[in-house]
Amino acid sequence: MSTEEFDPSRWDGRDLPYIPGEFSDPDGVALHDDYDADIDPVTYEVVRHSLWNINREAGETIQNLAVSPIALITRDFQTGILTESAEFVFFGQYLQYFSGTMDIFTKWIMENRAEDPGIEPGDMFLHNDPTVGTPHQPDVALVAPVFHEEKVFAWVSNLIHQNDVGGTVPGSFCPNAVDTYWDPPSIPPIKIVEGGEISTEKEDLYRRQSRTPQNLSMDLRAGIAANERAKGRIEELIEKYGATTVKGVMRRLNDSGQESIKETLSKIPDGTWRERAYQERSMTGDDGVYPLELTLTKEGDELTFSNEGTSEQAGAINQPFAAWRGTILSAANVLLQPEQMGATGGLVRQLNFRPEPRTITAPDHTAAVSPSGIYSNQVSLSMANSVISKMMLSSQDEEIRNGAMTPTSAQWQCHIGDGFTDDGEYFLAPMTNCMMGSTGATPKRDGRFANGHMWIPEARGPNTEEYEQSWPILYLYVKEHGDTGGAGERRGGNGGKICYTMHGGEMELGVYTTDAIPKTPGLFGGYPGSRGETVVLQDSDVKDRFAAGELPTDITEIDGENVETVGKGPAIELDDDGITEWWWAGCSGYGDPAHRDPELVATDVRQGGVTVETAESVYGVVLTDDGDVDGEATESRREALFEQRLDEATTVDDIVAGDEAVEAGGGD
Amino acid sequence: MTNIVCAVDIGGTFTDCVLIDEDGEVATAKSLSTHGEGAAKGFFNSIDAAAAKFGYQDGDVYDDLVRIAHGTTVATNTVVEEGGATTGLLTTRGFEDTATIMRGVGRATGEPPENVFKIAEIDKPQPIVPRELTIGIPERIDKHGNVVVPLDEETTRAAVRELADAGVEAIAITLLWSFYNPTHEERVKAIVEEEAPDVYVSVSHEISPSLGEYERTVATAINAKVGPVTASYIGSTERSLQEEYDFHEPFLMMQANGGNTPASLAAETPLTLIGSGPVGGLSGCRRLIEERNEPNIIATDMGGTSFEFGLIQDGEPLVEDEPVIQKYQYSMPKLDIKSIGAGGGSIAWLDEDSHGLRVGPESAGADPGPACYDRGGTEPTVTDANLILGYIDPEVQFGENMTPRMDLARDAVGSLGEQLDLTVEETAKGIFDIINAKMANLMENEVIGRGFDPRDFTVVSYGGAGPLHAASYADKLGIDTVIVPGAVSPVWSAYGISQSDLRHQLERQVAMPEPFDVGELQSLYDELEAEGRELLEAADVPEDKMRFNRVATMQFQGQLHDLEISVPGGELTDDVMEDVVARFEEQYEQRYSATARLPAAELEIVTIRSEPQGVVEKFERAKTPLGDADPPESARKPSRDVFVGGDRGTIEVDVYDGTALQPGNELAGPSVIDMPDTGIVVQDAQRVSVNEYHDFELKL
Repeated sequence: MSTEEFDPSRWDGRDLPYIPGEFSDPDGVALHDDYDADIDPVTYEVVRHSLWNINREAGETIQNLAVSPIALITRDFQTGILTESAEFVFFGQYLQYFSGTMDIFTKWIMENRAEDPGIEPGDMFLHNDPTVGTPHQPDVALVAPVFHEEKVFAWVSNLIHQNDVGGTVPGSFCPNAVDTYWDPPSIPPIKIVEGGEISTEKEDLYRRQSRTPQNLSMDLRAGIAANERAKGRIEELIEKYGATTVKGVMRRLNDSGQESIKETLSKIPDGTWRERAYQERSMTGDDGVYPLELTLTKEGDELTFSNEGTSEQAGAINQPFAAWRGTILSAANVLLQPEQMGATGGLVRQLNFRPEPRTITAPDHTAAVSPSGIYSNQVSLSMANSVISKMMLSSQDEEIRNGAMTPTSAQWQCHIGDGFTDDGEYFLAPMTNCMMGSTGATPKRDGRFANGHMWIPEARGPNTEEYEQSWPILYLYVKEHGDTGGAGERRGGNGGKICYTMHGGEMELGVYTTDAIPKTPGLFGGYPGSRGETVVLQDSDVKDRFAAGELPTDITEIDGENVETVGKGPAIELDDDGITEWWWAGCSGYGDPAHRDPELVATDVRQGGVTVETAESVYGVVLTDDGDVDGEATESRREALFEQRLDEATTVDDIVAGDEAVEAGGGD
Repeated sequence: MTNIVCAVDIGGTFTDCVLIDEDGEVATAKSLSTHGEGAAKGFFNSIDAAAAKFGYQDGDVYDDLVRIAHGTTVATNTVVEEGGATTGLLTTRGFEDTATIMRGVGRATGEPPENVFKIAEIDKPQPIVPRELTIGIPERIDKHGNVVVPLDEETTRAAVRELADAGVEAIAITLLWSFYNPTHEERVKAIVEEEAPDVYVSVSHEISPSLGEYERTVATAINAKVGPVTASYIGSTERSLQEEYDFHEPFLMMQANGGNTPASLAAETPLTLIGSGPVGGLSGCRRLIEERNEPNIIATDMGGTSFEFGLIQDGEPLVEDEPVIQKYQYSMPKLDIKSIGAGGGSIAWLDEDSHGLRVGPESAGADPGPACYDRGGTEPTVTDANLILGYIDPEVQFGENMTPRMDLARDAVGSLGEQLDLTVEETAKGIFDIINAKMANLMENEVIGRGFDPRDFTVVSYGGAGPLHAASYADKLGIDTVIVPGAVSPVWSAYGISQSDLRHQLERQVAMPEPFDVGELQSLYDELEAEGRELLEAADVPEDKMRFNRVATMQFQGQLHDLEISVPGGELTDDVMEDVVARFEEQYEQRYSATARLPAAELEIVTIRSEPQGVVEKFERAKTPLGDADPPESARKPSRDVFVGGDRGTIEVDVYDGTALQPGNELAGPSVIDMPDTGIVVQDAQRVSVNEYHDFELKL
């Protein structure tokens, strides 16, 4: 990271989040930095591919051994290999925003743990401290040095999202957190493995906070096994090819990644691109609105990201700096250099981050951040997706423009319940159906319903039978939610909706998602993505309907007592006949929907992706009774749309005058 | 009059036949595959051609055949080419989108790792069943198998009629939790048979009785799509055998699980045939194990576009539970065969950013093929590199009258070399080394990743390009023996099919936590074995040839990944189960280290499986006593320049004609053995011997 004009010295991971400064040999730990600059192309490729393979094998180890349902099903974990000075070498295809954290916390460990308690072969550090660098407390990191000849040669690391690490709400996303003292405990890096042995006392301390401690111990072992495997394989590589060769490959991989991103950036004009989005309700009981800003400035071959204009830190909607950085890296990695297969080190060198302290996206250590995985990380991903895509769309290079995508959903809709099964067993139910996801549009292609998410390239959703097997619920439907993809010349992918009812046992819904406004910005006149909602009916007649042989396919067909939900609302205990529908959102659109090919709109309607009403009101496409395009009616409808827009258009002056009026009135 | 076993393996280009008589004499033949309506023609042509080598004519060989085992790609190709029957899907109301949602991971499933980050580029596949031909019917069963909403038969009947009116040729039925309680599915099937008797029906609890409605729906829908075409192919072939050739002995089909099944059963569950193509070769290796008494084999097959390999550990091939085809994942045990884009046609290219040499995954395939094929390909490929290095005989004929052109190979590889500042030979050697490293990495990942030591394995290499590379990739894994099958090598897969037993897999989801209910397990295995016995009896397997293997898949509670543990036959007791648990723990620690196991973690049995097998009669390959170590003069060919790299550059090496080498012959590297469709490169300090089966054994 460039440190010009930016003084990271007070960003020391104590009060403000840690941002490493110029990083040279830290005291107390010797770094192996000899490398061979002259490696033949064949050896280079053989070692490069092996390093990639090692990182992948570490990821597979986690998938095989871990038990945290969120980590396993959504691939909410990550593995990485870093150089001796904590530059990325390879970063896996799992959750992308962990990329903002691994290099940072590894540097923190070198600066803060080298002299006491020391960094030795066979050691492994655990931490979940957002101020040092995790996206939120449930994302628990493990990092281990790889030694060669008594010097640190490289680091191997992984993060796994844990089922529950404590805090006020089961599942450890705490929307009611006033500050970090309501959040799960943050543990700065501790030596959990020393000389190859797990420290029982530290494991006990770590487990004690959790509602599901056995899960933590299982996943701890999964993470240790993954790091051990990667470490062992790197040692074998050194033995086979020599340390300076392996290190030379790491250097060249990063240098070439850097050259590659510079080359891409050389085809994009300099400029500044901005996005503004809003968070609503900072915590349970609040009803405020909080602007977030992201500015991307491209100058030559460097990109600088600033959050200037973002609200002061508030309630539980904050995002650790490392996570904010990670969300930007995610979008950059996937959109700007997908061909690099996760070799992220070169890219990182070209990016600068300029956070304003004590804001929502760079809060100090007192701020609550535990629900960031649901709220703030998603808004930032969406905003980063937006500014980087806008920048790419400013290029004259068609290939770069075609790689741009409209923003991913700015909210991770989910339900997390906990309770007891009929057998009296405690359960925690993080429902991640939203991982079926939706993708944004590109200039050449519509977005897609249930196409995963851009920020976890291999994410997947659950089977209904898997969730029903685990928890006392019964699903009524899981389906596409028409009209929820942002309209556009290329439309965003639709979101989905899910409905379930209680089926034995008891459950309290501690976390659920309801948005008042859509937050996912569209591009070039495309409409925004949709919002999520949770509908709850208590004492419903659903069981009677079942008995009568009916299977309702929409919650509006069911009678019951409606419980109003709001974002970050209090926990709701579902009664025996309780039923709930919740939505996951669609992505935004690209370009003016009134320019969409009418035939495509007719197909959308036929396939249920768009309703007849939206076809006419938003796309200006009129269909015949048979569902075919009525050409003449469409033409005149579109003309009327354009005229209506001109009539209703406002100027910047009108808007400024409006804002002043609001301020004068004292409202917000 | 002699007894002969016949196997026919249909591939994309050639149909291979192998005949083995009771003395172990083998006749092989390759004939061109035929497709479409006349698909069976290639089948009969290949048998005639092989039979002619035994001196038969006019179809009289059929009198001596004791069984015909057959591998076909008809089902696989139907899916890959997105063809097959127009299929409708009946599912639980509210879950009509299951097959199109694909759990959200349809885009990435089965993509090579190079593509996984390319979100804006790669896409989901076409729907496996069009949404408009998917109808939800009111019914619901819960996880205990209890009926929550009874089946609405009237609506079901109307839905079937609607699909029939829409012209469907097949209907797939997948209802939630049907594998615990199949009554609704059975009733829906009966209604389909009443309302649309000509439609092919595929029902999920019969095809894939396992948890996970997405994977079960895919299995059932694919079975329906390929059902009519496969059933018709199998039916017409079987009729021809009976009516035209008066053949009434067992006619078996090769399945992806590594076993054969009677053709009539295969027509009902053609899904089991999908992916059976590469399995024949693995079955051949399993037979090799019996011949050689070696328990662990890595079976490798390198062709024009891909490198495929499977593991046999302790005599048993490893199994995968959720194979993928065309980005669709389904549940069905299948021999685990991994594949990457690494073959003779793999293209070498320059990564401009790192100034590195890269190879694959893009392939020039067969058309245009490598530059040296002179069919318009200009990009340098692995085959071009092998030719330049002297590994391939420059005078060889590929297929019909095609001799590779060295000048074109040198042009293609040379222009890449110029950009890298390497000579033509150095570039070619680089291509050779990189493709070998990629294959070695893939194998290492699987072998070490499963907790095995590669040094405990022997590599078997077949397929056109394999033996040229085998010594090199095996060496990287520290393996000391490579076997290249001799005379039967060109039809190795057909040979494997001929040697495969009848094999079925029956399983139940149990999700049973510790402490295990031994009585419950016993009665479940008894039920499965009774079912299996019926299958074997229907195929006329005599009692003394029946085998019933038991398997339990186990994991620690909460994990999604399980390990397969074999369970002894006979009466289950607490002691027996304690031993099963001990073996699970041992495997777990072997694979993931002792630190990875939490002693307090609780175990569960996920599924239990019975594998009924009918052991078929196999004829031993004939052995020839070992003769002289010195190769006969007739096996010597003129020496050739081979580039070995390093200080020595190009050197002249001995070249042998593999078909003329005799059992007992031994030769040392560096040398090259030319063979009809491939060749063996013997490096410095390596030795090759020809064993009594005419197989080549390389010692590294």
